[in-house]
Amino acid sequence: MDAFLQLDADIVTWINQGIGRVYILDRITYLVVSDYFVPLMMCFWGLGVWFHGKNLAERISNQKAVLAAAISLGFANLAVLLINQAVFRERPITQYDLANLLYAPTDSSFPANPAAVAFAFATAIWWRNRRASMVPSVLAALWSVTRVYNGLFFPSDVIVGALIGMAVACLFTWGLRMIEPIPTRVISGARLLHLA
Amino acid sequence: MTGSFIVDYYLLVAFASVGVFQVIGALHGFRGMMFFNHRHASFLLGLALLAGAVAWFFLSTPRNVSDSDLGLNGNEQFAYFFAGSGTGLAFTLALASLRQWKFGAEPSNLATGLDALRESTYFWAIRRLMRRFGGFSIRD
Repeated sequence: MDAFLQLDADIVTWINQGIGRVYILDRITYLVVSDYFVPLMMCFWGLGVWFHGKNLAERISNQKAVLAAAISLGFANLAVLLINQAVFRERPITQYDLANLLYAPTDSSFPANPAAVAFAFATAIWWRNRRASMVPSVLAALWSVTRVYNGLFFPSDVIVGALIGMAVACLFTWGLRMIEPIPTRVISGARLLHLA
Repeated sequence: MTGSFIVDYYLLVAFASVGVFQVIGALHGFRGMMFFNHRHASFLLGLALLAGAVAWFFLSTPRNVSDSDLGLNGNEQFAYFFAGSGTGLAFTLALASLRQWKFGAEPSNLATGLDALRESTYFWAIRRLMRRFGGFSIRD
């Protein structure tokens, strides 16, 4: 276990040395590591997916994917919050002398909340539309990597966070199928108002 | 920059979502959602609004602030995104209905759901819906 934790720390301290070397990379990282940029882009992508579809069946399937993604995102957040009640791990940035382009958070590092919510969103879309899930998957991966790059999380925090997000998305995608026809009726209601 | 992080975030989402709806309208042929008849013009306007809003928000002042300070936590982001994108949608449908006042005004059977916006503005689509259910109509 100690060897594993040491490897985790070695990866963060090694990768973090890139900050401050290339100005353009720092500016891009500053944007991607933000609490707002990736979630916003994912939500706008979700809006796009809601309206997309070559035919009615495909559009309704996409809309169910967006419903599942929105619900999964919320419950992935809740799952991390509950785990944080029992587990606390200090952030790498508080344990080591690391550079950081974000602020220095004080809450638990494990599991990584951004990875959980972003991968929950991407996975829920993936179940119904593989092509449409590519953008959120790339954004989720980029967000997670930049968080490690900035010394905010250990790689294992991000991996476990992503796994939690994926598991929650699988559960709620399956759950929404189990409670049919409720999702279909929600979409029918929006269709009546010409919004779906 | 308005001086309030919440207002800035709300404005970012509202303006950017108007841009997203213009792009969606242009790509999928929902003319009732577009401000212009020309799909390319709507597409370019949408991209400009989206890029402009994001650039304004992130470049006007440092935005990497903690949610315990001036920033927003995840739940607040979700709530303000919902409010901002709802405002953006309402504004888009209202302005598109005004800009293309006569589009879809003539009586006909509209497609259901979103597809109605290929043949009519949102105003006329909702008006037909209200008449179908025996509700208020401005011409009655």
